[in-house]
Amino acid sequence: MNPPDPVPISFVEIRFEDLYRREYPALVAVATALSGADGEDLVHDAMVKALVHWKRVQRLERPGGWCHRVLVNLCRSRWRRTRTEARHLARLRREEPVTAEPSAEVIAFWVAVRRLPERPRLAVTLHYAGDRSTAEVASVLGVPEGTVRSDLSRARAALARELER
Amino acid sequence: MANEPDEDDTFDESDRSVDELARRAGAALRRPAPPDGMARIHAGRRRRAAVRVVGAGALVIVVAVGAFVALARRSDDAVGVSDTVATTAPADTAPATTAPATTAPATTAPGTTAPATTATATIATASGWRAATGDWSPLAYLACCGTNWEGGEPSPTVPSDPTVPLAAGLYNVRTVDDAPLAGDAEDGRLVLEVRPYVRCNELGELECEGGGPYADTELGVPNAPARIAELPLDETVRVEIHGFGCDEDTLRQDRQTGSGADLRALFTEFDASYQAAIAAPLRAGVDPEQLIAGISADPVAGFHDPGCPAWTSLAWTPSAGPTIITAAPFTRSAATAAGAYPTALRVDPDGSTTLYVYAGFSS
Repeated sequence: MNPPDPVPISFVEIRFEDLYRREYPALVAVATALSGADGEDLVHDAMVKALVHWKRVQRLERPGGWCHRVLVNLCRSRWRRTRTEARHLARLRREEPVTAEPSAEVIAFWVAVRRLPERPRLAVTLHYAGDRSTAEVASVLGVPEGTVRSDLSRARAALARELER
Repeated sequence: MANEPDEDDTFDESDRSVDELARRAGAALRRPAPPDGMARIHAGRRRRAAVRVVGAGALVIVVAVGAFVALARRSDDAVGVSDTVATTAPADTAPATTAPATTAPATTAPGTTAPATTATATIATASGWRAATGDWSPLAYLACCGTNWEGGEPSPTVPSDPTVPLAAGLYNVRTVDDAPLAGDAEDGRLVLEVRPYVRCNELGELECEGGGPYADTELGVPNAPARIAELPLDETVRVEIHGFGCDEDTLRQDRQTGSGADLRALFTEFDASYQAAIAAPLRAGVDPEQLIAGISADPVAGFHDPGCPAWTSLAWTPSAGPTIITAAPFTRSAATAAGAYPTALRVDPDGSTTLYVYAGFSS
């Protein structure tokens, strides 16, 4: 069992920049994993939304969770619309690398994850790329924590089969 | 952070191995915020405020389109009149993955050899786009919003021998590399992954959305393609393409039928227009929102304001063929974008073939 989530500090105003710097690493990992391209644009869009709604967001119990939910929704929207752009982004990225290339093992893993159906795909990505606990993943996806655990377990089994091929 | 190993009694060695790999893979993608990130977010908020009025009605339109599409899903397929599909069995290791930045299920063609062309054309179809008659099967649309397909019949079994023709029925198709189609069109052929629609209850784990239990009416497709089909973009193939137009602020379906040669011409024209109107300015550093505003005010290469007030993206109207919605043409470094997706392949009892291409909203 995971430990319970830390008790959030409610109704204490935080600085937007603090939230941004704290959440960015996980957000960009989730966006990159889900989109298959560099996730920076998606994180940017999510954080713009957070800034637009900052008066409300800063008073949420889990503003980071809110950002992840917004990001996942953005990823869902882009998922079907822009899959074709990835090939060209990949081409451009090869020409203008901005970050170290992930290893072949990492690439293969996330390609396999992106073949999973939506819910386990999101659960795996939020849990492993976003470094979210199963409780947090459940909160972001709006499903019971048991469902997330079940999805993760089945997804790991599916990924093991896929990666062995 | 709060993520800790999922230790429990059912965590076996295979689980642990994947868990460890997953943690490494996740950590590899995390990186600190860029130094200019805050400045760009503040700039983004200012731009968003500037276009907020334009975007206010988008939700209404999306709902309206959803209802529109739902209505369009109620009837059966249109009748096909042409044929010629060459198929091959997928390679054992297919689909091989490609470069780091692909979007799943982005793949290269299974193996590297082109499918053998074994079938021959038998029936020619007339060229020239014209209004389509009949409605589309629900299976010919993209499965919406993380759901499974409903409202259609499962496909016939796909024979394991790739030289055996497909039985009459409707099959799911997608381009092998999930890529824009112009490149394929230049070759005069489309290489498609073919999958049968199968009841979710008969599919393997994780091949339908939602995890089950499934209604008997829910259909999905296997993860692995059953065949790779090479479809010539010529008069031997009939094509139905589904776009949307806008009449006096009201969306309307724009479904037209033509031949594979018409589709090839359409894709080629789309790609050239996109390069001229969108890709080139983006590469030159033009702000996407300024680009939309500019094209809306002054149409470029077929791209124009769609005409429906709250529809915030652009439409593209070819010299011949349906209006195509370009829902997401704007990525900062995009070299191109697809506006149309092959979705289904219908084989009629006489062996003729119809390719369905969706060119409307996608979510």
